[in-house]
Amino acid sequence: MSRGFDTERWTGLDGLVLVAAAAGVFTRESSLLLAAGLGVVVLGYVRVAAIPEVSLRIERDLSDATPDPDDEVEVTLRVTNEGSSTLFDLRVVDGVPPALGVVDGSARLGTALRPGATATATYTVTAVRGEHAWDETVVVVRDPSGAVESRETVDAETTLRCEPELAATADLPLRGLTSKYAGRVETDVPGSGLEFASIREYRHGDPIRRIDWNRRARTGELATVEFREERAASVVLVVDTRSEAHVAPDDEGETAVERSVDAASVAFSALLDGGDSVGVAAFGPDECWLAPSSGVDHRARARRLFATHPAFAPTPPDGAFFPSVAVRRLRRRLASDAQVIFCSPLVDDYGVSVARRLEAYGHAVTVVSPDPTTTSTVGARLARIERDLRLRELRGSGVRVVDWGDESLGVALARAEAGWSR
Amino acid sequence: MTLTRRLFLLVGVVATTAGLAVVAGVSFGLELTDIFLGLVAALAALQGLRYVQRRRDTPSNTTVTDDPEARISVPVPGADFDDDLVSAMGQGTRWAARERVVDRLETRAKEALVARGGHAPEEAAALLKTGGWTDDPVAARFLGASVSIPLRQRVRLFLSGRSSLTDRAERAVAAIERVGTTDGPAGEHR
Repeated sequence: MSRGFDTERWTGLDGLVLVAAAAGVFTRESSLLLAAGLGVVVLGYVRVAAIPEVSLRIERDLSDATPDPDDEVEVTLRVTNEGSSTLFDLRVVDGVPPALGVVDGSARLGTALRPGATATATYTVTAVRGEHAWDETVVVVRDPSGAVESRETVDAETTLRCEPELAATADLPLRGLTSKYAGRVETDVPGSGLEFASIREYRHGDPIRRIDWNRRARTGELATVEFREERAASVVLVVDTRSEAHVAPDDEGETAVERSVDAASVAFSALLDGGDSVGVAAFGPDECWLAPSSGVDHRARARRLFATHPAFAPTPPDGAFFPSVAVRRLRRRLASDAQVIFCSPLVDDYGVSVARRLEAYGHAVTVVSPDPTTTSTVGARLARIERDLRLRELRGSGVRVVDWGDESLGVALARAEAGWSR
Repeated sequence: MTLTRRLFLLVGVVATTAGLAVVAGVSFGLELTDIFLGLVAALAALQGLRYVQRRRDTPSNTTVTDDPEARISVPVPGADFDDDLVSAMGQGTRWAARERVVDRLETRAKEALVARGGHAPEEAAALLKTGGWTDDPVAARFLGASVSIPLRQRVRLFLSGRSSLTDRAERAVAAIERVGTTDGPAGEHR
């Protein structure tokens, strides 16, 4: 038996008892005195009210523990009273992970529970990318009169892991900065490739296949045809995961960080398929770095990273963050020939300065910016103007920008690419 | 237990024992007259009302849980500006917030004139000072230009009740939105 804490529910009843008794004495009305007597009995009960030892077992079942994004997952919460006394007033609130929203049913349960009995609550959540662990379940127990209450937490470990397949749904054009390995990015370097570049004088040792025989027939001179060399790029996808980037146009919508990670995972797949070596980094308080590489194992590592690394979680980080230190660290890690694809909503000036600094250090930067702004309030409209000015500033300084609104990433990329080639 | 509480407890115990003794037939020289009963009742009523009053000052103390069903909510871009607008209209924080609002709008107007209107930074600053960057005198005036608003428009503004800080900020934002588009006077510089 524990006392819990007083809810103050019956405070003031003693006053009413006294007033009733006084009225009874004044009016010589025995029924009023009797009512006061009843009040005294209730007060006595409240004074000794206590909560029995709470011993609950909580089990949670998921209809699918590894769903795909946007799948609906049914959660069944079973609460069993393992103690020896009846709980007259039991309220259970489940610790649904903050990134998951309940779309059907209720994650709460209010019931009375006899010893050994089990109560069940069922609700449905929509899966989003990430590893989501349930928080402790809050249990509130009251005595029948509601005079005392106790709050406890019960832990039942449950994790929902949603790891989207890395699908290359959009092709991401890269800039000219490449590594020395063969790939698909056309460079201005003459050599072997597909697209004609120039003709030069034959030098000893040139492959016989590249000799321009027409010219030889016409003029008698030997000349070598050169093509634009196609090389692989080394690309690092940097996702802005600072707390400033955790913004969304409304309460229901995806946050900018979620969209940035989506964009990065699409780009990762597309670039890897194209033969480039791709790395991943987070620009935020939680450190995350996957060095550029290629291959099946690398793809699997990246898939897990995007889904489960705390840096890419849909919830804002709490840790302290020193952006200039992070930029320096990122620079040290980037190889000199590495391109950067920076995924950031650009809702503050620092995102712009990161992109400009990386560009200034010679890493060809492409910014993919999911647009989280709306026009619902004056502030939101101003934020949209500010973001537009930032995009202009970046474009002005030679950084490629993909402004990604409500359309699919592929459409946004195609539109942006049309602007680049002009 | 404090001394006063001890004293009250003692008085209570003595009174209860005396009451039981009276029921048992012992007389203390006190008659249950109307006056005596009235006195006891008045005392009880007074104390009762005190207790009832105490209830009114005591909030109930129950566990409040958050809403685990809802997804974590993150801010909408620009919410800080809206907050500033609210505090600029409140007491205490008024001037600092107002300054932040005007400064931010001024900076953005200047940047917009440079980036979208095609002006040099000095030109943009001069345009802001003269109010020539927009055709909305309310917006121009809000960002520091010394343009006068025609009396008729002023009366209309006053009567429409749309002269608060929020409304003026809204007009300034709308004016900045128009910079560089064909609607605004800066359009020809595009």
